[in-house]
Amino acid sequence: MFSYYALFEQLPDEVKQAHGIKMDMKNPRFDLIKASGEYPPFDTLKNNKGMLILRLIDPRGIINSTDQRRAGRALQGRRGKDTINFTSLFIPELPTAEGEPMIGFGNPNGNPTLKNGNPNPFAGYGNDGFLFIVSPDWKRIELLVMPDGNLTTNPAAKALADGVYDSIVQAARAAATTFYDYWKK
Amino acid sequence: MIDTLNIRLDRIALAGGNPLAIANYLTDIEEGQSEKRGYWISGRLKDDNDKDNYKISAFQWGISIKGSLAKYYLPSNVYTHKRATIQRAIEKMSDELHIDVSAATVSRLDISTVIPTQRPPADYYPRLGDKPYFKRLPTAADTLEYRTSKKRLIFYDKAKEAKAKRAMIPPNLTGCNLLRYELRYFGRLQKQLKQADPITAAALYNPKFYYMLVQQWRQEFDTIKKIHRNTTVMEDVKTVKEAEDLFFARLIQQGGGKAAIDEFMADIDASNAFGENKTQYKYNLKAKLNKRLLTPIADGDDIIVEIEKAVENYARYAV
Repeated sequence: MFSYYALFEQLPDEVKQAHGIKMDMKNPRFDLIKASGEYPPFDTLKNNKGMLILRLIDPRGIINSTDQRRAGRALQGRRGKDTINFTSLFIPELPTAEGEPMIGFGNPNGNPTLKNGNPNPFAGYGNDGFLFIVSPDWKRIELLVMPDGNLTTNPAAKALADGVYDSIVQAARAAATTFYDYWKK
Repeated sequence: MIDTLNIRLDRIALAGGNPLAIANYLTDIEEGQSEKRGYWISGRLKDDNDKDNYKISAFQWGISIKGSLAKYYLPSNVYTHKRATIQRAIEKMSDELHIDVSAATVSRLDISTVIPTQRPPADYYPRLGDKPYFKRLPTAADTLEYRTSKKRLIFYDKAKEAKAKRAMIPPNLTGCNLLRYELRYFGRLQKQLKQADPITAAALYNPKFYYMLVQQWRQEFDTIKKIHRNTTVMEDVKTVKEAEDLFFARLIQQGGGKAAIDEFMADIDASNAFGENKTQYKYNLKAKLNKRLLTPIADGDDIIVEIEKAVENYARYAV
């Protein structure tokens, strides 16, 4: 059901400092900490140190849709000088208890090319759907990739909130291995 | 969120082309002659699964196309069309029929999706009350329908139906309870949707029009009177006595609880009830009544809120 699991986190200041990462940026930076499974387009988003970074942005002015249905947030990555609009992040009002993670959904832009005409690394993946588990303080985002799940992201988000996938998510978390060790001495 | 889509193309929209020429692109062709319609042909446009999905009929006046756009383009109609896939489906149909289907006028339209639910769909129906101007018809055990002459709202168990019809359920929704909510428009769509022009197939993937349709789907649900109350715990009830006990517990808990029991016991005290066995019987009675006070009568959920939230979320983020 899920072909890929990834845990992104906002790194603590001391870790950022140790790696020479700029602090207090306008758009929060999320680093890929752990992952299980495979998602080939992500390979192209790694920087030259082997880190994979997404930024949480306000999609206004970037995503062309009505205000009513535009997602509150979006995730953006980089490939060299290209900015990649990875996905919108819709957070529906689902019945999760206070203090529990929020559930979100999205899908990649599968257009063959980016706005600047360069090839889109997510071309051919437009039918995939994403589910997100977001910590209430927005410090941690877990991503679940559903191959060909684009048409079922909204109901799947509700099923995730209802606990239907609990055991699958637990297994994906347990199988996740370190993607980049930021705490290595 | 479009499922059934019936459309018709007048001869004029075919740019003078012969409607009957469409026979070249159909299978299972039949033909006939009627006094009212003249010579006609009909056939099938098969979907990707090679199932006879769309029924196409051609007359001297034009072409009629009837079927499910979801079954035609998606693995089954348990999947829900997005705006982008509606456009691709219409384009595919245009290619296959060698006519511009986007210009066709819509004569029937179903707006629908599936909602995974925590309980079997039928559990929610008693919480959906009357709706102004609509007849509420529980048509079958698994179906609830609201009806006017031109519009219907249908709620049913899609997982059950898909299983019976061997329709493909999306892998990530397999095993879920799936409540289907459909809004069906029959005829006079332009008037029903208060549009200045006839509704064409192309309008269905226009962002503003599509958003408006989805909001109609939500608003029709919103105007159903909801019966908000907590759920009585019925799972353990197997006998009439158990049901009676549960009902009694509910009356006590909703009718004053401990204060009501204390008041009743004070009345017993002040009376000659139980005669010489008063002390023992009073003790027994109070223990029994207190037990009723602790009987779980509700699971704490106002279950229809789950569906209200889901419809609101779907409508808000319909893409």
